[in-house]
Amino acid sequence: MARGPAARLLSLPAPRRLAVVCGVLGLLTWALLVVQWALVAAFVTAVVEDGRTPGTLAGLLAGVLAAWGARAAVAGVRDRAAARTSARVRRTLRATLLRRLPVLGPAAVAGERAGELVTTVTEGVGRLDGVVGRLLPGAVTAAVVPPLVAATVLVLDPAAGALLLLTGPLVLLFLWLTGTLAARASRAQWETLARLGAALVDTLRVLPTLVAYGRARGSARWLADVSEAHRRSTLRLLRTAFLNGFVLEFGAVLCTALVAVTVGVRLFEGELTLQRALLVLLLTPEFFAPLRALGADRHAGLEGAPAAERVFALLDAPAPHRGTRPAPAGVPHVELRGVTLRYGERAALDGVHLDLPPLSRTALVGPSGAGKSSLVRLLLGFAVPDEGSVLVGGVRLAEIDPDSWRARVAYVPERPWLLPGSVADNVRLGRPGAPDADVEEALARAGLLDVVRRLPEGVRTPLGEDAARLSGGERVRLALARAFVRDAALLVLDEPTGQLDEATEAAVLAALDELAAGRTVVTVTHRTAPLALHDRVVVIEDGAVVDGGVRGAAVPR
Amino acid sequence: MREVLALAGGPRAALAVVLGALTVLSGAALLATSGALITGAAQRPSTLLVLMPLITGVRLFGVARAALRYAERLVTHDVSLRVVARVRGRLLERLTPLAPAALTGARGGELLSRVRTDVDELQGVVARLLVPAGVAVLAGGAAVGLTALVSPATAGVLAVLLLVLGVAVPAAAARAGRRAAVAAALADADVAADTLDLVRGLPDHLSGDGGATALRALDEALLRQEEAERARARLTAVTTACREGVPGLGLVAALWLVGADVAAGTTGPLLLAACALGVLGAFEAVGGLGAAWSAAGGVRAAAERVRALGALRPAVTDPEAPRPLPAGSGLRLEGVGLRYPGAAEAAVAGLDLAVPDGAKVALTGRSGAGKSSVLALALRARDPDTGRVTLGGTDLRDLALDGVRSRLAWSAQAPQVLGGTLAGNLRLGRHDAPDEELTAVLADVGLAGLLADPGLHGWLGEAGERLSAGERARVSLARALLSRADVLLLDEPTAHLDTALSARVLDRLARDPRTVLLVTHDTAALDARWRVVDLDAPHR
Repeated sequence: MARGPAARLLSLPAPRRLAVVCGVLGLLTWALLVVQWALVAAFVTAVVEDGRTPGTLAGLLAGVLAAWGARAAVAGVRDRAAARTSARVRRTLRATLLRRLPVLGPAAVAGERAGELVTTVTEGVGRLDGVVGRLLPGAVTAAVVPPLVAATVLVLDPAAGALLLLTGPLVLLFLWLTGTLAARASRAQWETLARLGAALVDTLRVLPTLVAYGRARGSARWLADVSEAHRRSTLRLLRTAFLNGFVLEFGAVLCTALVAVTVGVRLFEGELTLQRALLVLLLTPEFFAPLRALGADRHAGLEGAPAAERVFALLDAPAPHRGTRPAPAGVPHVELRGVTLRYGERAALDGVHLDLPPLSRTALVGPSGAGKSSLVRLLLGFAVPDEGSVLVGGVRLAEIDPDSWRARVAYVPERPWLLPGSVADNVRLGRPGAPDADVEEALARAGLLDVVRRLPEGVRTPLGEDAARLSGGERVRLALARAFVRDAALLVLDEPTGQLDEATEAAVLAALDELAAGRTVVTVTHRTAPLALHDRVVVIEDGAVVDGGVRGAAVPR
Repeated sequence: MREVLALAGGPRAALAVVLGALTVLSGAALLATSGALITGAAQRPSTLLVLMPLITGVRLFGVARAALRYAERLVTHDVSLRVVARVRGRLLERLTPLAPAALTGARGGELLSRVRTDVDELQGVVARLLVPAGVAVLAGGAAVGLTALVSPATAGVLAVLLLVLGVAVPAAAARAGRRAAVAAALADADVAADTLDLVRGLPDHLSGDGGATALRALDEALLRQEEAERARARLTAVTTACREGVPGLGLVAALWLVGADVAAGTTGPLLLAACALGVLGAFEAVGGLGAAWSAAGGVRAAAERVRALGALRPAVTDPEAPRPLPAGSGLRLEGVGLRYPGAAEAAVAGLDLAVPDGAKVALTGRSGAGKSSVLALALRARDPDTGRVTLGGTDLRDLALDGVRSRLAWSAQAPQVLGGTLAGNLRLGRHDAPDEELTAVLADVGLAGLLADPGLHGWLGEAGERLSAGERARVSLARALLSRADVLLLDEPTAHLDTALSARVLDRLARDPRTVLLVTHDTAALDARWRVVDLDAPHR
């Protein structure tokens, strides 16, 4: 049933063990079914033909109850094993996926792909429960129990057994034929709901603007029209898709009816005993029950298949080359030599030469989209040039172990990302395990200690989701504290004051000036105030250096 | 719950319930007639004709069951999709009077994400809750009634066992599982939040400690998540065992009770197997109730939250007798004060501001000085607590809301771009603007480059994600420029632009004959044509 990514998922060790467990439990289920129904048939025969009272047959009924209870317990054990295996498989997959993200680097998770990645890790892996927790046990049970039941019926009554062996594969064939329809329908239905959800959220998101421009009523009508159109198209599809279930149900009940009628007729003609005929009749639905359950489980599995595809695509994504050499000690000479960086067809940087001598302070300016941020990405090792090279102390950056290089670089983006943990956790991101005294000193040097001391729990105050309690200036200063606490040779600043008002900007720049001492500094900015901190300004336009600036000449300090 | 019924009820939902109940009953009838047929045949009646009604019954019920199931599934899905549309419509209807005030800012984002989950929850109400519940009552009741015709005692046992399996077991499971469910939901939320943190902050994590802190936190959250799921697995196992086991009790009870009647000669022998198998089949009636039970809580809470939206008081309402729109378009704030609900300090206090016809005014001040609040007051997204805001000399509160807003064009700080086309987004400003004007206004704001790709009628991606933040801001600005409004209210229109572009945009605005009130933190770019009002300055 499962092909491609779903099959790959099922071939992991834990699902394979689960398959074996389900197989054994299936065997037990069959044995208990035969015992249970044989006892029921014996009881009915004894009452109807021998005229005995139930009181004298209590042993039989006790046996029925015991077998029935044991079978229910086996079903419970199976469900528990499936749920536990599924939980473990999903945790392991999530952990593996998450460990891939730092390896793949920011280029792979940037922009619109961020949301998709989070969905793959959370909801996507969650959907795999359908494959491991439901499809797998359902498929194994369907593979074990029906053949054994059919064999039993074949021994009891060859004619009825032949009927089962004939209709069983036919039903499976029809299932397979209509299965693609069901897959299409489930995808279409899912897409319909997703698209409707997106349309609604989109409309609600811009509702303030719609109301301000007097368009709210029009969009309500539009949304209703979209919903109606989707309902019609989905239903058209479902009409064929549900044939799948119809065929299965029809095959099962028709076969039960056929068995009942043929066995009944032969019983009438005296070719069979009542007890045997009853047992055959009672076992017939048990032949179809696992197949019917599989119909529903398969649906869950189908929902999981596209998710499995996305999960494995992420796991298989080729990791960029990682250098192994340690980063040079001290403050190295950094140099971009003829660097070209392309995003698809477009060259973000085109043959850029840039020399960053130790302790130099360089400001990068230029219009939006000129390639400034691409340059930052190259310096951090988040991107590798398509042509030319980034040299650190004369060694190609691509050959240096990225972790060892990043430990020597402090990076302050325009809107720093803050952890939901405490203030101290956020500072320690710069140097894990830094002692409290160092954390406080870093905060003090970033001009944030007074603010932090006013928080309810000082440096231990949790910042919460996206640090809502901090202003834009405070966020940047927290990122500066992060930079202070680490021993960085290169300081990379991306619009450090982009979102700040003038008074805050002045305070941040004062802290920056102190931070810059003893390090090489590269700053991307489109504001004028930060330029004074630097000893040269490099202008970038259309991916090329237009004005290299001479040390100390471009801006009077 | 009444809200849910009102949304989902109606003849179609009733039809789905009836079809579902008939499906269950024909399944039970198929088993019962088969049992009767076998026993009857074993009695060796004089001719096969005696068995004909039973043979026909077996065939009829078999075919009917498959057909009924097919019809029930189609009808249920049809009703579900109709409910989806109805829920969405209801929601938009309730949120419209609350916007823009309730939907902007951080709390607006929270509201939106909650609304989306609630809608998803309500979508399942028909298939997961209403139809299973209706089928359980209808088919279960009919099965008990039919059994009572043969053996009242067996019918009593069946009724009790149906209640156990349909009500007691799910209720107990829901109770026992509440803590596990809460733990699982919390763990899921933690994993999602930590994953988002790792993905969105990946550059910061990598340049920090290579992601080690984040991965450690995630490993802990994942273990908590697995532990919560294991707790639920234990419960699932017990529920499954009950679901599989309880029908066995019904079967044995029927065999015992009806068997005694058959042995005593008060009931025909044909009815022993028939009744026992029929009872077994009847348990399908409550098969969907387990899932319904767990869905009920979530659906009720979601419906309650959607209903509560309707009870929220809109920040602004239409006056009972609106005065005619004034001819002038000068804006005046007179001694205006505004404090947001729950805020400690007033956002705006005692503000006097005159923006005469055609004036160009720029509001500046530190973050939190109340710049955006002034725009909200001018747009009448909110009413002032003290003082008044006038348009052409008339208090905004005396004018029809639609009228006020037809005179004002607003571009929000977080630019609002719809998934769709460039033309569609711009025409929100003026629905009948010809393509040439769209092209011209795009050139005015430096977006002529977008005409080549994606073009006026190309897809901008969901929420306009194919555009950069700066481009979205300018689309929003272009929309305001295109509108027929007399006053432009612009919140940080140049925030994402470089110096040259920002100067060009400000020049275009300064040359516009209309009144412009804009918020900016970049005063250096403003020339003498602008009157700069610093909201921090004490004199104002």
